[in-house]
Amino acid sequence: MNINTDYFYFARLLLQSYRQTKFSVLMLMGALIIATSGLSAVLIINHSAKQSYQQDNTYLLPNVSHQIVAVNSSQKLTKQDYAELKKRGFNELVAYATSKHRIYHNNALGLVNRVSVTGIDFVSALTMLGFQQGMQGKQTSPDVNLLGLAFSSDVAFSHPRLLANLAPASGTTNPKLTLDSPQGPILPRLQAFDNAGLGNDVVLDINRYFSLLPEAELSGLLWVSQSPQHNDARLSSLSAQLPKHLTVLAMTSGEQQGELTESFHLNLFAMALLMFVVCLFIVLNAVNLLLNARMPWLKISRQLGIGRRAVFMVQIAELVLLNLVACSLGIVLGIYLANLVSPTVQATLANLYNVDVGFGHVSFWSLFVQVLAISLLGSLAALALPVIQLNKTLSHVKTPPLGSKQQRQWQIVTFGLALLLALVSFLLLSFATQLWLLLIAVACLILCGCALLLISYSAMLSIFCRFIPARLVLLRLSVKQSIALSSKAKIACCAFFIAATSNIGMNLMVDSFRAATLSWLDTRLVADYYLYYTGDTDLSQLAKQENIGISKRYEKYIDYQGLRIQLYSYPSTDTFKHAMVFYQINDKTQAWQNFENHQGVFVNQQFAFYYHVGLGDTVRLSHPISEQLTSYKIEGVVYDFGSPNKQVLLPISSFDAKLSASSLYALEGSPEQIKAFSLKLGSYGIDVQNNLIKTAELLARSMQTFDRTFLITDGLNVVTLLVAALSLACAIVVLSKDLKPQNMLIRSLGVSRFKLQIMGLFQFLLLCLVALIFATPFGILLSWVLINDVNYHAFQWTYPLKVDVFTLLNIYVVSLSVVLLIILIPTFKASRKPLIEDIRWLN
Amino acid sequence: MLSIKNLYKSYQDAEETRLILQDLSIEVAQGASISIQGESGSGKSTLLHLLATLDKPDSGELIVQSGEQRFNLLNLSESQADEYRKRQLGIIFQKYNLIDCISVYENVLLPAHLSQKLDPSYLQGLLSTLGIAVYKHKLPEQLSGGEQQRVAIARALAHQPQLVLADEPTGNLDHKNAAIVSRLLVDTCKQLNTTLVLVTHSEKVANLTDYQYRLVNGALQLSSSK
Repeated sequence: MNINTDYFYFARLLLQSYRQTKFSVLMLMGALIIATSGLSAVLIINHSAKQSYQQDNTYLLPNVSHQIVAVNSSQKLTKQDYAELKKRGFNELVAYATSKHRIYHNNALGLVNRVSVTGIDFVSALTMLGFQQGMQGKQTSPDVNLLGLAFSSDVAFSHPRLLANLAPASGTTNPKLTLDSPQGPILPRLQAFDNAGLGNDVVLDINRYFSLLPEAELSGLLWVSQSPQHNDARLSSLSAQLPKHLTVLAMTSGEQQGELTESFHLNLFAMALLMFVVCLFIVLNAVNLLLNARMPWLKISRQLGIGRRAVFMVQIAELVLLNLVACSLGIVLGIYLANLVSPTVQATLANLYNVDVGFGHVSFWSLFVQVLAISLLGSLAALALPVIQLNKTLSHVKTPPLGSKQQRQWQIVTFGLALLLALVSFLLLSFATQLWLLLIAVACLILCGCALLLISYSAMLSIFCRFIPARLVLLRLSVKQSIALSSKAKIACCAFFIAATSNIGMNLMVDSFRAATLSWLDTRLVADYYLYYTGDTDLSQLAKQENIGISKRYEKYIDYQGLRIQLYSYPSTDTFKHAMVFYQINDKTQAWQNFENHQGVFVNQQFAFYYHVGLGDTVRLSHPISEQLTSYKIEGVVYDFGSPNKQVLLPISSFDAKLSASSLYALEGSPEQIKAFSLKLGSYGIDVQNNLIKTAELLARSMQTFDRTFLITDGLNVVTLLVAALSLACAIVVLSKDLKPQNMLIRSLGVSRFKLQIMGLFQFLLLCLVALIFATPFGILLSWVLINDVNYHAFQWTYPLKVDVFTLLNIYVVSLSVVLLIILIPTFKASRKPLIEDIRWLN
Repeated sequence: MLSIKNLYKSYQDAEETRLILQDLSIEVAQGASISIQGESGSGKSTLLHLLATLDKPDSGELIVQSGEQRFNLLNLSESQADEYRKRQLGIIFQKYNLIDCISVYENVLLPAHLSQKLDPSYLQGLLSTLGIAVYKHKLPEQLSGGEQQRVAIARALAHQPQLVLADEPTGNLDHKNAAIVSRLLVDTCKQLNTTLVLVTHSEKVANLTDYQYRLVNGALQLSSSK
């Protein structure tokens, strides 16, 4: 037989074998599709979110390098400032105004989240773009045409998906969209514009914006760089001519957000990778299953003279082809999944980092190449073990069972590996500060657990077996069979251990975070109501008239060591003193005394961790009133979950109402008093419905936001667990063939089919239970690492780890239920066959 | 006592019905041993499967009398069949089919525990009779083929069943071991007054039993007896 004929005949044989190996091929394809869809969904989400930050706040304009804003929120950027700068020849400036609103569609709330409505000076933008393109000798671009359209007709832009979310049922017809209430200002016709810079924005001409929102103010002036050579000189000239209350800022806020959001993406990517790795365990088991099912064919092929090389090459080519098909399907599914979870991801990013994320463009082909390369590498790695096994079988090399000395050697090597992994993990956790290194440390920690599990699995099961009375013979037998299975299903058990450890770790982390946030909010929110208001009306007088206690929070942004930080006022009444939740404090009485005497400040964890300062350290800050550098001692570090900002708390007397803005008021009064107060607020045009919130409602809303934030993590956790259970199911199908003689024998001894099925389930559930028990300390450790190292570096906050027995039990129940659900089918299928068939098969 | 009357069993092949056993009748006294020989596909194993309630006949009567208890194997439900196998029956397979993750003694204990007829002194005697008492703490894989089959015999007799069915128990053994194991099987059954139905291709093994039958055209023909 010549070589080409070998390949041809063997390939034909493989194709024909598909009739009998449908299940294995489907399992393999399923695993690959799950792995590639998960991976591509995360890649799409990450890519489009990153694209979105890069273009965030540039509102469709290219080459925006800087912007002009007010130095502090008490002195505003005005239209006169804009006109004056234009008059001085700074035509690179394009004014914009932006504000957040709830949008109503045909009298109903279109989206729960608020949407940014942004007005842009399209006349300047058009002039700028036309000028730039003229300079570059280009034809008018579609962007210019669209801006022209917006200017000439009454049109606003939004991303097609935001448009679909805002008015899902309206299709192409023009829906009636109003701002803040069904009776609010009506938005112009929305035109879909597929641009990554358009995230959660509705963009329209600035004149139209002010006609809708006459009270609104300019937010900033975008600096559109005209020529790179003269940009710096022009900017210097602009800086020199700026009035005192204005300042030039580089568009760096995106970078700052980028750093923070990078950690979120890294976490998301790490979880997707974890799922991918667990999927590869399925691939490995499915390949094993496939090769097992094919073994008679393979042996016959070899007996007929088909070369071993042909046998391997054709099967590798088959895997590549299956990968190609699975990748295509997986990416399509991934795109669908990414679309499905985009609103949740956007909400998560908005909640965690206060950034608006839009919808990016991802090239199908670049995604296909990336995902195919990763999945091919993974599949080939997963193929290695079964192929080595197959090679041994086909070349009739029998692997003798390990002797006790070899077993001990194997255990020592594995233990050494576990120690090495633990050491690497410890060193990385102690010294590394980069998030990707910390994630590697976490991976080392989990792998160390895997190695220890492999060494001690049978010992743990043997201990368990000792406690079973001899009269429970079937139970003892089941446990002994589990011990035997543990060495045969090592890989599947490891996959389950990895999934269980990450599940316990993530769940405990989220649970601890939830408990910390709830307790923090519960203590912190002491007022009866909170009002969000940024206008100029003096609310203190209005509140006094209704005998309502009102505390205003003053806010000022200052530069500190190259970053913008928040200076917030904090009342020092007894109620508010009790409401403060400290992460670190020495003597509370002394600390409050120093705070009230302007000698000490409280900083949030984000500030303390970022600048590496703690209790007793001195910080030099610009005073909110005098703007002179003043030294303050850090008297306490406070929790401030959910905020990406570095914050310093000062007493109210450190602020001047004229120099500092305010956006939050704490109100204390009865519901009747608040009702009367809200009527007064309404008469001043203040949107009471959306901005005056009862504390209990605020708490509920915050916790809903919290739960939404971790929806993706929860989802990925369950998927990882499902995938691990699938891997186990694959292993069961392979092992059930080995277990057939034993099961047949037990049936022939008069053990009922039902008992045998229960035995089968028990054996695998026991393996999972032991893996879960073993995973528990590792999960707790993982959770501690996530909170104190990964969170510390990613979010700059930590919180106490709470190990709740009920949470652990819940994880046990959920994990075992998922496994039970998945292995139920193969286990019952295996024992459903009449005993006679098994006996005939054996004979 | 084992009584089979007018037994019929057929299999449906792709297009035709193949009659395997037709009008088969036999009576075996308690404690007697019979051997059944025949060509491949003649229905020897099918008959054993019917006696083990692993399969159902088309028609006929299959009765196993155990003291006061009488089992009509045709009418047993699945749970009754399980119970019958658990207490009245011992099966020996060609492949020893020992459970490899438990020791020799635990393998033998298993049916005694399941039938709740645990008698340690009887088991000790059985192991000694079969010459495997010294291996009782070893794992099956540490024994030779002949030793493993002896363990299988001990397991089949551990719960003192009324009937032992052996399907070519020496098929995997060499001549010397086959002779030893079959002699042990027949003698131990005799000693325990257990009825033995032994299916074999070997004339030598068949000659050890009280009655030797041949299965021809679906019916049993007595070829010789002791």
